[in-house]
Amino acid sequence: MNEAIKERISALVDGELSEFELRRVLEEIEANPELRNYWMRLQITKSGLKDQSLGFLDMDISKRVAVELGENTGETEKSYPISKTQLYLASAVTAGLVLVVSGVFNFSEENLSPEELFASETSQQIAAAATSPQAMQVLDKALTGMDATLQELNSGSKGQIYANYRLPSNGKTFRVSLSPASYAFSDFGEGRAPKLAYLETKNGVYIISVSGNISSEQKSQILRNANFSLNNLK
Amino acid sequence: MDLKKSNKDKDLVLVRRAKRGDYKAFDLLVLKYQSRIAGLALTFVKDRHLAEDIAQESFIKAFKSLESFREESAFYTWLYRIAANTSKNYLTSKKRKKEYSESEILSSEEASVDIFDIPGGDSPEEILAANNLREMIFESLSNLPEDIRTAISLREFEGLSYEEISEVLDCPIGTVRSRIFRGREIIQEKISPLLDNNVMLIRQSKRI
Repeated sequence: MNEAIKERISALVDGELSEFELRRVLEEIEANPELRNYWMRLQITKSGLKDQSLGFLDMDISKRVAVELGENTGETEKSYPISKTQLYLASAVTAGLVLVVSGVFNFSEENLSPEELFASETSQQIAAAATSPQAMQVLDKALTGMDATLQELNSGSKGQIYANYRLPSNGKTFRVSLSPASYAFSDFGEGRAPKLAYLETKNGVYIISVSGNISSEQKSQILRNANFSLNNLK
Repeated sequence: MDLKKSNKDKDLVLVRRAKRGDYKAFDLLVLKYQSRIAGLALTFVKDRHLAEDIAQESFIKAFKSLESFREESAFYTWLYRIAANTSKNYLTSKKRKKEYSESEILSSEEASVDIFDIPGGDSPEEILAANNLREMIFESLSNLPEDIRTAISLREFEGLSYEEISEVLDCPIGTVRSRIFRGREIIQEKISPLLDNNVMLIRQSKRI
């Protein structure tokens, strides 16, 4: 890492950076995850010296916050909003037409699970995959028993799908995301992102994650429902 | 010169930048305060995952209402209030008021911010890791060359600005900045292996 940039980051920790320097430092940090990590570690050192909390050392919610605010640090889901017609289709499938739609599609890989078919679809045609019945099956399955309303569905340029839901009972909202692992790893960084599970296919690893204003138990239940593998993957 | 704490809010440069729409600046504030805000939430909800969720929600609320931050208090004080209110709202909405005492709420509103910084996490592994790390940080500090140690101490413990430190030490501001940086580099080098190990141990303990 460049020493001069690190020195500027150290000065930024103390609020001693000029506006001009700040702009450059922010750009450098955005471009280099190591510098981001350096900033975090300087904060830990500072907290240690000031007898402040050193708990949650393994936690990093910054990516989750960014995603919730529509501020993906990498590619964003803003790129491909899904039309109302597509959303209607998605809602219909989610509402229970999975079997009918599945029957219409000609699955060339009959032995694959819906999750694997979804993964394959994503790698071939990103935009189409966002509204594919396979994707909807995954989402539908994940939301089993949740009585949630699908409000919005978006796709990202790298095959990510973001489905926003609302629980009519209490008005809480949450998001279920499906992403290729290469994107998901950069999306969540090295920090702790516990509400996710993965699916390993011959086309790569795919991640399902849940974020938003619902309980931890509900998030875990969604991941279990999705039937992706739950383990220590971060 | 009196060794009086500078009242300047160290976060203002980032806050103002974030207000102008640069999310990268707000992202650094999240990274800076996420542990403390989650620690604060944990004192209310007593559940680690919920505390993380509340911290997340607090930052989202803070970003969305950043325009209402008038810089009349420190940014962290403002953020702290948001997180405390978010935690209390959660408990209220869940009708869990009986699980914590009314006196705790009142004292949290009146207390100074640092009182609610907990010393470590909620598990024995985290408390041990935090204690070890803190010891290592102070040991590293005490072994720094005197000129560097003095600069860092004036900054961290006395809260002096670089300009004030340069007056005390009778050296240019650039030298102060450089000494503080070099001191932090040395401390970082010493604690990095322990920090990596601690994070790994905490993660492992959660998988058991």
